[in-house]
Amino acid sequence: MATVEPFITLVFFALYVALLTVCLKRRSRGSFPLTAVIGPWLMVFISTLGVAEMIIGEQRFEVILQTLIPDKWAAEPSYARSSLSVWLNYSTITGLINLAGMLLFAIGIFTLARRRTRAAVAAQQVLPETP
Amino acid sequence: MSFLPASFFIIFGCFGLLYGLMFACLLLSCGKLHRLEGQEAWRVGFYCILIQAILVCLSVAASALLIYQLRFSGVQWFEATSTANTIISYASRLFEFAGFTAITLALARPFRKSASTKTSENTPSA
Repeated sequence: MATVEPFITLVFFALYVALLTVCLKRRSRGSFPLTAVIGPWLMVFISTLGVAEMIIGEQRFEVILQTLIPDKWAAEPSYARSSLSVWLNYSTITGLINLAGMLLFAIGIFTLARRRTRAAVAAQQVLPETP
Repeated sequence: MSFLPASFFIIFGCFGLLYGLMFACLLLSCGKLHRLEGQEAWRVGFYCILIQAILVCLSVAASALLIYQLRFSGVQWFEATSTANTIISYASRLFEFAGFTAITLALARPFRKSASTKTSENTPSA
């Protein structure tokens, strides 16, 4: 399964870039929610890190992250899986940021749908009055 | 549920909250936009995201079962649960990809439409 991972990383990177391009295009054309653009930016950022790590290898970002975490928060082997610091690793943090990006995008799309619904309701109210 | 550590609940609570909100927003908006615009891509996105939500729930259950089996050694289904969890995770990512592709295509529809109109305008008539 490890051989599939680089392929999945590249495919998701391409998808997120395409999504960001479409969102930016729509934002430049008309009223498109800002959150629906910030979300894909975060997703592209995280997947770029994934692609970079795939190219560099050796889990460099994990090492950099571990140097940034203070010693008092570092995971102790005796508290395996019971301490919160066990979860302070690269994959969990990037997963949370990616998920936050997806949530922002979802909120943006939700805002878009609400605006459209309001516009449709307003149009329906106006239509019967016109002769 | 005493076999699960507190950190499991905190981290999976964070992920669960984010995932729950995201699925709720995406499902509601895909449904609404499909009703308003009538595009099939929104409906495809809706079903893919729905399947992904179910798979994520299954994955969380499998992870909890794995931790349970790690704590109480001697449980014979560890390998099977681990394999099932891997397959569920990959399936979840596949449906995530399909769902987001459908949403991207649905959002890109105005541009594709205008491009096809331009192409038909430029094509000389017989």
